[in-house]
Amino acid sequence: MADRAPVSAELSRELSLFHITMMGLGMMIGAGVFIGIGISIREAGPGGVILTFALNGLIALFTAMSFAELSSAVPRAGGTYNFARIAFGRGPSFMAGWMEWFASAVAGSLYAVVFATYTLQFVSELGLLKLSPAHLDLAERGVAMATAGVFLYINYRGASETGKIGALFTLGQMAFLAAIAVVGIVVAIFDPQRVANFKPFLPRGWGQLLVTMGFVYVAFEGFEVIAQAGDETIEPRKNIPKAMLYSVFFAALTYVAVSFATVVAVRAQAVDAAPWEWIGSHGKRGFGMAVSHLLPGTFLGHMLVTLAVIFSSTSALNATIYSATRASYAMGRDRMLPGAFARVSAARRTPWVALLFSGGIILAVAGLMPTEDVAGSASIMFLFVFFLVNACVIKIRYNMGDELTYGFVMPLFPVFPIVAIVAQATLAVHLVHMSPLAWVVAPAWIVAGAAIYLVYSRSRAAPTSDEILVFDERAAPAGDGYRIMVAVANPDNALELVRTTYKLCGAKDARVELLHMVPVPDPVPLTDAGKYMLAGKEGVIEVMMSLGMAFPISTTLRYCRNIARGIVSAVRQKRIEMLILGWHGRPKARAFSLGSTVDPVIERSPCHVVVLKDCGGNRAFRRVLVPVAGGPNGAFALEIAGILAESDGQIVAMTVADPRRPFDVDGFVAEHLARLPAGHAPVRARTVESDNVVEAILAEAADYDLVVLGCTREPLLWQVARQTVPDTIARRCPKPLAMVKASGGIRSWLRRWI
Amino acid sequence: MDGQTLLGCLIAALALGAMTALLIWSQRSINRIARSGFGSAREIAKDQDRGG
Repeated sequence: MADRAPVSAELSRELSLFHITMMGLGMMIGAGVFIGIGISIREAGPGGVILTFALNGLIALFTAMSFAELSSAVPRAGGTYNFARIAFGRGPSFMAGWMEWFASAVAGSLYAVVFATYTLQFVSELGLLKLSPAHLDLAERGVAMATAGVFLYINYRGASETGKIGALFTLGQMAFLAAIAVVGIVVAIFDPQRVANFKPFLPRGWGQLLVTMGFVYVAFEGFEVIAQAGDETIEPRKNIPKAMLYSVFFAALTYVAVSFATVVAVRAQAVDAAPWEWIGSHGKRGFGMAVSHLLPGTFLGHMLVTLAVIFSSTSALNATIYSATRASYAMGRDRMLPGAFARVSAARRTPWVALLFSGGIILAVAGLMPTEDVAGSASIMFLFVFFLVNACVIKIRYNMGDELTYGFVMPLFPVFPIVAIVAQATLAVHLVHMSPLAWVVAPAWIVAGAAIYLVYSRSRAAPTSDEILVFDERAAPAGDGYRIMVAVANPDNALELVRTTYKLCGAKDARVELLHMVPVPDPVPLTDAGKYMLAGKEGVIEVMMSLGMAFPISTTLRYCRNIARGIVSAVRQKRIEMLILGWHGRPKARAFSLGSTVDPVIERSPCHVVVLKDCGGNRAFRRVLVPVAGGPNGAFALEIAGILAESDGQIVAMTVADPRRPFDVDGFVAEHLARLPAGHAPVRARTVESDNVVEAILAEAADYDLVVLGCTREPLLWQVARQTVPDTIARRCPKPLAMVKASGGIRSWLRRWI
Repeated sequence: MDGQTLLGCLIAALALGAMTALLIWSQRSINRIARSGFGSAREIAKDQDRGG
């Protein structure tokens, strides 16, 4: 067991909002923009390049909002790896971390090579170096490896040094790019004819714009590195989301401004073709060639471009080393990789083993591999990571939104992540035009990761605090039948549930699953959960004594951090058809309609749900009121009323007349009468005239023994906006109450299977 | 200015405008949450819905 305990390691909090914003910007504004602008102008034209960066920036901002929300709630080193572990479990999280590690490391080697290429080219132009092409390639790889080595050492020195050096280099590159943008704008103001360079705006049409957007989207990869700094950032819940949004916004602005400067840099009279065609004809070098026209003297232009590239590539190299190291550190911390990956230097407080292995990949790729081809596979993996994060933000908000502490919550949820997924999928289609080798390396790395996970990580991974673990499980003899789960909290709650549960189980000839979730407070290790399970165990025994002779019973005791999530998880796992739980009748937190457990359970359980309030004791329900207004929950409420009402009693299906939504309650009763069990109490339809639905139903309820109420069908987070009629009645109803939700429809199917 | 250029400029302006609006809204929201205390998604969403 000791071998499986999480590795105890702590990083120091030294990075400010400025440091991590610069880190994100530094990684984004790397080589991509310099290569991308010329190619974008060639493919999409002078207006297309502006649209490409503006629209890609908006899509990237949507994904950044997903990253920001998740990072504010889970501010730990590991980024996507952590999010995927919480949302989808160990396998997907391992693959996310594995891809992020590789993609960051390979991107780092690309930046080292770009730095070496531009530096040696500039030195050659100065006449200080004369090498044959073969020797030049060797020299480039040597310089790339030496540069990577220097930045590996800076990263070893500590987060503060990494952040400060990174910020310095990023400031340098931003200053150069800002200078280029400003000069471009000034030139356009003083020489307005250059604005004519934007004609034709989209010479190859709108279709080609998508192709270019797909190709250039990689220029926005990099802000995700900020998520890796969760353990080392000051006030992470506040600063990490801000830094992500700032960095994407400023990167997009920079790209658009520099693209504008590139287009207007060339005077139409100075070249023998249309300026956009001339820039595009130089492809990857188009940006540099254009900017060299922007300033008096070609040499000055070349120097400016070279310095911008040097600053950009080094700041990006710094950030990618940081990202790769933290991704592998997080996997080591959770024993997905050997625990040595989580070792932290006592003197420097940096994860030196993770840094060592990440450095190994960076140096090997920079020194030995065709870097640009391998980097293409990194782009593919970054897109996979982005898809995953947008899926994670939806799953985590729905499943754990009530138990995580957020520092940022995106508006119009889940519109932005869905739009981002669709847009990125559209762009990803166009990545097939990349290097064929990229489509060999990426799957090979993914397959290698899957093999390592299956052989090594799956059995060794340490449990995290958000997991649900089975404490004790006793199964009834095997057999088929309707499966009813009863969630038992304590002996009092068990007594409340027994009589009603007996009737429901009898009507359905059910097999019963008794579940007790042991809520373990956050500071308490899950291994000490036994201390918290006594009351629940007594409750389970209480129910067993009452139901055990009549129905086959299985029992499960589980411990978790959040009861609602534990119950929904058990419902899914055991394929339960009806869930019964008790409700004390008052929400403790203002944010909930019925309660912090009941609300999420009703919303998320992919089965029928019956919530009972004050239904204990030996009371018989002779007069049962069922307020209805149509819909599946109303029909299910009628069915439950038929089961719970004494056969010599009476069921009244009541509706409040609404001239805007006429409802035929007699027709409704006639339509659903067949659902009621044989020998049920007679059912009468009744319509009440009133302006106030809630008051009318509450006044009517005073004459009844039980009220059976269908839940609202509105999604959980919409209920937050306004109290629904059923919720208000449920909270104010002085009589015993059964609140029911029917399973079925596409939403339940999606909940069960996805 | 032809129709294509006009539409292109409009789309670019809308994209940049949307980015700016989202950034300002998010920044205010983050500051407000940090001041009033971090909370669950439901609590924050409820607060946002009230215009807070």
